[in-house]
Amino acid sequence: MSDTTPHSARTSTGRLRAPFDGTNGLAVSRRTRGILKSTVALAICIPFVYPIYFLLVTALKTSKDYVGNELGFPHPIVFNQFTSAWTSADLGRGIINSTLTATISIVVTIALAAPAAEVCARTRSRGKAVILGLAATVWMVPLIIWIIPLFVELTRVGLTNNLIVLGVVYGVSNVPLGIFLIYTYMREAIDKEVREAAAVDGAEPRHVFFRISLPLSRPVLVVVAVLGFIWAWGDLLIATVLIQSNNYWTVTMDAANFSQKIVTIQAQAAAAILAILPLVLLFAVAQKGIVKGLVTVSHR
Amino acid sequence: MAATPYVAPLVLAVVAVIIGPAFYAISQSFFNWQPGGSSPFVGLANYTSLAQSASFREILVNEGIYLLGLPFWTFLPPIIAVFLFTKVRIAGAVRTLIFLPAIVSPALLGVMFTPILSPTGLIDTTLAKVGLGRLAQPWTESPGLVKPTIIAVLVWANVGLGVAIFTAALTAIKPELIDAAHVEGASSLQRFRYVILPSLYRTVILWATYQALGVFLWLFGLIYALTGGGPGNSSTSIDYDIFNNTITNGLFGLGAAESVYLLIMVGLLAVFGWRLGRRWSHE
Repeated sequence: MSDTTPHSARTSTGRLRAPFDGTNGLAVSRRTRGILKSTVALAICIPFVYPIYFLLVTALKTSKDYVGNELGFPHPIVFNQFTSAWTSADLGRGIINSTLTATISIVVTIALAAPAAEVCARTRSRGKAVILGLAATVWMVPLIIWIIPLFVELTRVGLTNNLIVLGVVYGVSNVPLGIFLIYTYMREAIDKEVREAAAVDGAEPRHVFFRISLPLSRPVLVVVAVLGFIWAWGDLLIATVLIQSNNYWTVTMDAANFSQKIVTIQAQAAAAILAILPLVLLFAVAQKGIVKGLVTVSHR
Repeated sequence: MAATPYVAPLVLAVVAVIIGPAFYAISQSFFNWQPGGSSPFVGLANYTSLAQSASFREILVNEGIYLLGLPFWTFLPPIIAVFLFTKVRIAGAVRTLIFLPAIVSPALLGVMFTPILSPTGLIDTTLAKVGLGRLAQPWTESPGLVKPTIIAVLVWANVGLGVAIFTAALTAIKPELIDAAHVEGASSLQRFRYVILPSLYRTVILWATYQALGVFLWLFGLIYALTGGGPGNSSTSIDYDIFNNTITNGLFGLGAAESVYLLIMVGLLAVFGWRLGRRWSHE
């Protein structure tokens, strides 16, 4: 990695300096430059750490404490903002609903995307262009243009206010991402020789898929599952269109409607933390896959 | 065909959930679409009444103003990515931290910024504490400030993903290229100007297109949770407006026509970005 940096280690003469290090043309030592760079890097972090700090301390304060002590540490520390946000926004029910729909969506995405990716990854595949074209088309269609007529149709057959339907819709809408990620992975991770050897040995295509491709693709299936969870958890538009009854609200619907009500800033902060925390925990355990997946997907 | 069992469920599901309804919306845009009732054919009436409506024009102006955020969204990530690439000791930790907002959806972004932007919230209290209280503003409640505020929130939300993307692009530059420039006696500034920068052009175009499309496609949740489209219509985005026209007000034909306008704008933008990206990658 260092070989590709503009400021290469092999820059032997002191005159050559990296661009954008903020010290161009100044006669400063390597050490000073290092400290300056770290300072700038820390400054970049401030707008990200500060709001998170604010939400945390605010959610732990009483409303009385907040006045005059908006930015300091809570004194005393209380947890009733969390409990009141939890009960008045009904977040517990929301978290269960969201987890259920997200799980269904993951199963649907992988069940539809993995076989299609397999077809694309096969040698001498005929369906590849069609499948990738279909995925790209689906990706290009704005969500709002299909969700309204889908709502009309689902209303006609009585399938709104249904968490299973919601999960299936999330799953199908995430299929392009699934196909793209799984196909890219299969192409790189599974040698053509392995496939050809299996075919020569008389293995049927479905055996190659279930016994070779799918098990070897486990890492990317995890990434697709995690990204699918994040997508289903955070969506508001599809859920708000397809779900009316409070009983079936997802956690993001709860949080979004709660923050629009007249509630205290402490309760707003607590609701925001509770709704986002599961995603942060997921990020903590699956950070590398999430970054790589999102970069691959939005950088086609 | 051998592939049929692998792709038939996919095609069925995608046609039933996405492609079919999309075509249904396009066809219904020529009707006074009333689900469950009679829907008379009205020709282009939905399209013309939108074109003449002051509120639709206000929403297009809103979208145009949101697009003014593009220079910030586009250029901040490569600048930070290149800086972090110059052997900054804590670069990895910084990248991870600023990436975190990428997992927060627009709706949850709105939820978390509501207390931050509130008149008694983080920004205004901080300004007051450092003696800049006169700069305190009702960020989401003033018609003039709400759009710049949303642009700033989107900078915060997207910069980390952008940095990750540009870091990947920087890592992908072949070391031989830089070595060759080195052997030719190029200074570090020249190497940046003639080797590093050109190899980022394509990523810049792709990233800018992605950000521009987001202004038309992904604002609903943020607007819903942060401003409710207000004050008045001053922060309403087109997807939020389509939702209001159809789900809230029952004007399904009008909303269908509006979503066709949206489809056309998004299509033009995508084609424009794609062609621009292709041109740069040839140079």
